[in-house]
Amino acid sequence: MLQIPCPHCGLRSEHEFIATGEFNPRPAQPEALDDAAWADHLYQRDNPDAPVLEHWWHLHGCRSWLMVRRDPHTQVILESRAVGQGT
Amino acid sequence: MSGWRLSSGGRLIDRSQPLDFSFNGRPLQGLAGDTLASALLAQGVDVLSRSFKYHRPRGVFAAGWEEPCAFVGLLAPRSEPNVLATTEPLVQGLHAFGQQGWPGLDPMAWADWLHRWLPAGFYYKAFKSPAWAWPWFERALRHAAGLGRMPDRPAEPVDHERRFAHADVLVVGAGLAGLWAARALAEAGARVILADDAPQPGGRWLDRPAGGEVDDWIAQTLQALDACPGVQRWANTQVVAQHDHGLFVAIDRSRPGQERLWKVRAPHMLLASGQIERGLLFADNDRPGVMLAGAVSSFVGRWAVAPGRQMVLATNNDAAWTAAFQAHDAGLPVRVLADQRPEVHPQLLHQAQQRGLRVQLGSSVVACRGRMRVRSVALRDADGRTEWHAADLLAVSGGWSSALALHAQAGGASAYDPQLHGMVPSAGPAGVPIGAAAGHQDSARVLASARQGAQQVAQALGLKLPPLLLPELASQSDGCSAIAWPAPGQGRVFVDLASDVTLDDVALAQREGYEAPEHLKRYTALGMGPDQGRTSSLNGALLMAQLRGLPPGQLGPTRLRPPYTPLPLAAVAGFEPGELIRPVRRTPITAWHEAAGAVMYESGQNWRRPGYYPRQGETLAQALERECRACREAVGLYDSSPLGKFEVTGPQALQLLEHVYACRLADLKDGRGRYAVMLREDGRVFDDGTVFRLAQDRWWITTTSGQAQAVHAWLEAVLQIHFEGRLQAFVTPVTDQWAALVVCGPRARELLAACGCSIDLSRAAFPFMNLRTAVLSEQLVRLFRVSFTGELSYEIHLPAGGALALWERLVDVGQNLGLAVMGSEANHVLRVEKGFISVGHEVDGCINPLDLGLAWAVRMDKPDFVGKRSLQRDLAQPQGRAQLVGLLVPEGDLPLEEGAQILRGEHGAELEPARALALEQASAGFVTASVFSHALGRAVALALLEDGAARHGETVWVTASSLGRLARRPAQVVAPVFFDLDGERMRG
Repeated sequence: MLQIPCPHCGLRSEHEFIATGEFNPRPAQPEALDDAAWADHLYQRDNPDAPVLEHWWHLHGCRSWLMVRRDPHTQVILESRAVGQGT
Repeated sequence: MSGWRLSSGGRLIDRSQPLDFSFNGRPLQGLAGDTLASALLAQGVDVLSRSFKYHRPRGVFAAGWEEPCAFVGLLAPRSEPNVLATTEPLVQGLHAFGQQGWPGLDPMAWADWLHRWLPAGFYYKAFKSPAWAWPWFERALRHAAGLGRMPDRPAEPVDHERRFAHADVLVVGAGLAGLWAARALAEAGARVILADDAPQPGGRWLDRPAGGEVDDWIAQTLQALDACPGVQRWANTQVVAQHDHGLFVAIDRSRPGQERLWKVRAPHMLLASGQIERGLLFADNDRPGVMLAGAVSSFVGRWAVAPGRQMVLATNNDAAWTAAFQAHDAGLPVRVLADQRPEVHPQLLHQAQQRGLRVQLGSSVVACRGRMRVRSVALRDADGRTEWHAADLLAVSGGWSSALALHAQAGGASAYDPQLHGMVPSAGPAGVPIGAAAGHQDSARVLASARQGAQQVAQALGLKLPPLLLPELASQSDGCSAIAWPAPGQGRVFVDLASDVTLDDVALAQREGYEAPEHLKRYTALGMGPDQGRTSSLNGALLMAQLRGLPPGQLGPTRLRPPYTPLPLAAVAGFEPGELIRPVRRTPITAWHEAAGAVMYESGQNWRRPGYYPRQGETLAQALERECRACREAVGLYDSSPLGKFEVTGPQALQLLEHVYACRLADLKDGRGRYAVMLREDGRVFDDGTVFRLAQDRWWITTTSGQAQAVHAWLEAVLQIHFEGRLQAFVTPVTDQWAALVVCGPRARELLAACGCSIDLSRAAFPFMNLRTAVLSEQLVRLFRVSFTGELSYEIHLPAGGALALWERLVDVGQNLGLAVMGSEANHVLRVEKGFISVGHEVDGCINPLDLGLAWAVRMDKPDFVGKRSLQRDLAQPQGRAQLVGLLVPEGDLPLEEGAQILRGEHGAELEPARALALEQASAGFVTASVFSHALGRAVALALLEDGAARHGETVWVTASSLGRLARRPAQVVAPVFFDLDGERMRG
């Protein structure tokens, strides 16, 4: 069981969170994208073999959405910050 | 009759407490502190069980958890198969029996006679023909396979405790290194948990006679440890798993049958788990009486049991010589001490000479004789001459390797140490190995590595170790050489005793291309036994390397996975949770529903809601008709409290709502509301509900009860991620705070008025889709005119505490008005009659609002909202998607089945089974909801049909399962609304 460092609540068990996957920001101008580019945003993820930014929601805590960078090999959490509040 | 109890010694036994037990019905005696194996050996029992595949007689090979064969069935004190005799503590009245057939005469022994036709993997090749015989072969194989016998009755459920612990460092193993490091760290101020699976600390030193400098030092260390605050010392507790982020699972077996499970969080771990010995390879090396040298030491030292009467020691390493010395000193004669190395440390020779032991260097054991017990041993000396020695105990030692399972479970790396001729783990995030686990055997080096490891952890914790001295202990030599590998084809040489894998099997696997250790394991089953290959998998890997001409250690052993030893599932389950295993959410009215005899259904997120309320002797159909008629003709009442509810507040709350909903909300005035759909970015309907404006900057939204949490997550994600927290809008979930009772039907107004309502309920004063605050039956409530049933309907929202009283009042007053309480079944019928969609039926996550006929709820002229971009594409490509339609069957026919498929233009009445397989390609849609409508007196259905909006009037074929065969029925495609087409009743 992982422990996720929540910037507000401290180190908490992963049971308190819901993980929703790779960070995939909504394009600023969806209507400017053609169908292929829009489908790419909707359905494609990079999924690299490297630490990526992902979203975790602290449902059973402060209910903040967190941006977490996790190494998929060692499970080490490299960074964890609340969205929209800088680093 | 080989083993016997020594007259003195035995650290773990209490000679003043004899215990009676039985094995295979034979009454025997042991002592408190014995394991079942030590007691059986002390009573001269040779054969404990038969091996897994060949049913060869087997005795005891090891003294602890690394034992591969001695699994017995327990009848008392508990009924359990596959109990490891070398770790099961003896208790008064224990009854056990040998598994895998009779130890004496085994009807399955033919498997050994036919071994040439039953090598590893024989079941992949044999029994293929004749094909008709396979069911017979399979039955025979299944009967022969397996380990152990299930008890006749299930065990009495016993509550098992589950505890949690936190520490700065978990020290696994209380031997020399573990004790020293634990004390050092504890005195430095760390919170330490020291866990060891033996009843007493001391590790390998428990094998030695009691008393002496080491025991003094251990006692001193324990005293110091227990004086430190923040130290937990666990005995009989084995750490069985290491997971991510310093989570460990340990099992306390102080009371077998009532194990306690520990979950430990410790950011640091010192692996002081010691080393595991392995055997030598020679013909018939699995006979009862062939035992690991370390196990002989353990039986002599811990339980004062001599496992035989004439011992021969065969080895290739220094550490095993101690077993011979100890046996001799205890009175067990050692006939020959054979070491395959041509030269050994002079200290060892001196010690052997002192005891008058015959030593043969450059000698290997090549075979042993004796079926039910070893009778004689063949040693081949350096000149190649073979001599037979009479002996009933052959102590073997082929080398040692670190007990690194915990380390490996967490992905820790290990490497082959050419000095030790075994695997040694490297320090890393998976733990710091110290002592013997780090590959050391000499005490001085063991303690030095303990200090190094403790220092490493102390540094990481920001602590300073106290200036503790390392005790000066007599050093031991620790030389070793590689195992001598016999050539294939020279008798039955066992590599894995647990799975009956021989050297010839490994050679076979190599010939057939299963050369990698992971393939070797799966092809031959080497290392797959309950012992996880503890004494066998390294030998298998080294042997494979040798067969392939690779340097030893190039092939590592296979991946290890938790748990290290078998865990009883009851221990994992913990306390009997009963109903709490799935807590049910209740509304303030749930008890009333149950008392009224409602049939309760599971619904949404852990809710339990009434399906229908059958009166005395009523069937579902009868109750349904009564409830539906009451709603359409008089007044119905139902509990809608699980409805998801949110207050959205703030100066920019409207901006948030306009973004997530497809409809326009900016034009809503105070006290007015709208039906609204929430889309996902791919344009598919995510949820539907209502949005009401309570006041400026204060909005009230409702969602499907099963989606309350998903909507909450979504709204917060939009606020925090999309709007980056810049929006002055706040979402408060209030699903559980507000109860919702719905009064619906032509006489709804009358009912509310009869209960005492403070406001004007007339249509002009309180129109459809409006909200009013009122006092109803002396309680302050919010009344929402929304309708899910299509009737005149008031949704009464009030704080949960007052809901039951209001409910009971409504039921009471409603008796005179023909009120019926309605469940979800009636709701289902009524909403289908109206063609209202429901999340989970028509809204399956793959349909957009336009195809659901909700174009009026979508404002494409809004600048932007979630799902707009995808809807633009859908609008541009209107063909080929499922659309909501209604289906009518001829009057008098039974309703269609929900989930039935609508076929593409087939003909005929019956579908052949072969064609039924292609149903997925043949389906043009499916029935989402199908009911018998009492208002219309016929069956009606809603369905999703490809391009259905353009197909009204067509006849389609719908599958129907009848008598187990697939049939089909005709149905007519119509608009998806059947009752009160212009909605006058709900607007009334």
